[in-house]
Amino acid sequence: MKKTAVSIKNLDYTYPNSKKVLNDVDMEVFEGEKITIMGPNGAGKTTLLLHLNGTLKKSNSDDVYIFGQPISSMNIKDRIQYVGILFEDPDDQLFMPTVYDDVAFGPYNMGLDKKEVEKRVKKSMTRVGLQGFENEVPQHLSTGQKKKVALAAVISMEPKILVLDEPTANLDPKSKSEFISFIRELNEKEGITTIIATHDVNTISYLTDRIYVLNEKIVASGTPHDIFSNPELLKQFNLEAPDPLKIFRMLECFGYDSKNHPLSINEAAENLINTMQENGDIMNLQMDKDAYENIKQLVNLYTYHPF
Amino acid sequence: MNYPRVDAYSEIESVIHNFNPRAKIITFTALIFSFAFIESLTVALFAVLFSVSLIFISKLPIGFVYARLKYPIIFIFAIFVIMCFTVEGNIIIGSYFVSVTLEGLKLGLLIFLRATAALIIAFLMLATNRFDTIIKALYMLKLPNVVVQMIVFSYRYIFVLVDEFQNMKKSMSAKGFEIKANRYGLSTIGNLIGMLLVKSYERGERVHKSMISKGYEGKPRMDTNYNLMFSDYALTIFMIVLALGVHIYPVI
Amino acid sequence: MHISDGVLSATVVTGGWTITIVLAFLTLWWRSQESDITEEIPKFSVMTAAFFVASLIHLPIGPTSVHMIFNGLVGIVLGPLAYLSLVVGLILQAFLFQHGGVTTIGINAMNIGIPALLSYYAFKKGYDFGISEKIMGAFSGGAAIFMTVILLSITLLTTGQEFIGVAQVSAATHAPLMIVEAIITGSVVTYLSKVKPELLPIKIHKNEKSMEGSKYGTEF
Repeated sequence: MKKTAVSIKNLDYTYPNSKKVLNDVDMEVFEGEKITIMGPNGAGKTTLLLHLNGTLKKSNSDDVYIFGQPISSMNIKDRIQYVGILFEDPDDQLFMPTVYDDVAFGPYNMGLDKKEVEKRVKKSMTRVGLQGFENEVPQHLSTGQKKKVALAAVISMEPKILVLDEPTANLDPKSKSEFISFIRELNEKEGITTIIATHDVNTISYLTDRIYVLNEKIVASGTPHDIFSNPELLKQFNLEAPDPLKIFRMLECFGYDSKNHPLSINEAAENLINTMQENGDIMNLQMDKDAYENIKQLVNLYTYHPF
Repeated sequence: MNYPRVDAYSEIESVIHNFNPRAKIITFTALIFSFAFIESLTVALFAVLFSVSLIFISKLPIGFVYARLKYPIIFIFAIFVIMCFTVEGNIIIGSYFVSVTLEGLKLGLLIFLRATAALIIAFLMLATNRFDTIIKALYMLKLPNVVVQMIVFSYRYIFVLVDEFQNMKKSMSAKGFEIKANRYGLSTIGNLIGMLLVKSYERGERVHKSMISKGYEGKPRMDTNYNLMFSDYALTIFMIVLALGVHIYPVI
Repeated sequence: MHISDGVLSATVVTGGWTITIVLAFLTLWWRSQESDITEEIPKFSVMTAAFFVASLIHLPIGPTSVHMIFNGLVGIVLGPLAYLSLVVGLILQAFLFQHGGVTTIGINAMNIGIPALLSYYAFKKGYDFGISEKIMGAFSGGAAIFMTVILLSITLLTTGQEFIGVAQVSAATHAPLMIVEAIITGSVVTYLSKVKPELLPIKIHKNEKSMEGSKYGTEF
């Protein structure tokens, strides 16, 4: 039986001077899981993430539990030791004079001694592939490097749960895939639970066991296949399905038997190879009389550009 | 607008560059305060010569030094010129409307020399190490924690906001706007600054949250290990003696 | 225009540092009575950086170009903390550009900081009295420069009567700046009152924004 890492019960939140952002949110995340939170702009994703290590505090209410403990009763050191948050804009997160100071910031606040901090900085920097950058100043780094340093500054606290807000935003494709590999590695090798808020559906399959759709409250949850096979839900909340899934559903209109719908290019390749092998190394597609109508319907269902 | 990079040549090897940053701040500040109040012209001239020779010892590229000091020195020179013409006293050159007085010339020159000497020392203090080292030295010198943090974070975000402001200006000039001192131009600059303030305010809130998420409680720690060596003590004593000397010498 | 090293007498410089240290601590203490300073440090620092960047704008006026001080605006937006913000700004200016001098940080901070604090109160009082934020913004922005010129002249003349010429020239060069900053401050304040009124020391209009709470009525 897996342990519950995060449990959120009836979480409400209203910013001063504005409307309700979160309304009766319930969530349960198990240890080692990869969770993705999706939702339209302004749905409260970032606000929800900020609750996960008590950055947004509410007095006297126990609605967020980390490994069974209410977060409101945890002290700062425990909170940041359990849950690390990576923000969307690395410039918000790198505020110290040098890279070293930024990566050491969390460990020092945890009360670790100088030797241990040094060790952790070194380890985290090596992990994100930036060893030797410790003495750089943040303003001289590229966006990709800043993002990696920001991640190093979070994993130096060695959190059991890693929360990431739009981790792939503004990264070039190479940095993006590197970044995803780090996060996957952390999850697979060290069993770190990851919770990610993103719009980037095409990279999602590498980082997702389960999806929560948030729009002030949790409006749906399930496996990526469940969520992405529900185009009405996606449309209602301004979301989209990964491109490979759309293309394979299109292929089905021409008689392709895809069994499951791939969510990534890698899954698509696998799917194509398996299907063709089963059919004697041949792929059979044909255009019947309904195909045109079906495709049109499919495109209108899954995209925001009418066909 | 370029990044303010007074520390562009901080990686050069020289006696001044290698001087312990904490000792450098203390002694150079002492020199600045001492030079700024020199009373005699000859001593002030000596102070300028001393600071100029420090520039050569520091091996900083002359072009860089010139570019950094040009405007501040023009500004000081303007004060000298104004003093020459406006201080009352014995006229040495003059016609009906304008006249240069000996008193003005002397006082103006004294101010020009001691200001230049102090300026060069201040420049060397900052140009011969990375800016973050200066900040850390301030931190080690036990300046009030709140003030050090404000300098640290303000300095850091200048770079972020210069970029942000630059982008805003570009998007405005893409729509045909150029900065001009007329009514419309000024109120557009007003909007531009307003936008910058709003964005910065929101960024400030996000920065605060990201600090909280890493356990910030108002007292961040910075690692510093600058060990004092024999040469540091020697230089420190030399500089302090000099700082005191320029004031004691005229009395003797 | 800030006074460089080497111009003022030791007495005036010492006086400047004393007043600045006292006022910086006083305003900080004042603020800490109302809110949590550790929470304000990051926000305040980013705002200080923003004002620093804004003051780098060079505006062509006639044959020369001037750059802004914006002490009135800093006062209106940051309230009592404006003083410390201007001190930090001057330190960074002296450090990064060698502009303004090191020994004179105290006196320069006083010359622009006291007008900033007064602008803040003038703006608040005027606004409470029912004068529009645009007019009060322009008034505070211009008046701050005017007071700065007065204080600058007093500083110079306290050092010696010989500085009367320098004081006159600096007053003359500040005159266009006074008008420019009045107009810009007025328009910044108008912009803020529409987009982010919580940055101004004004109460949010009851009829327009009654849905929003009363907290955050003032800066930060």
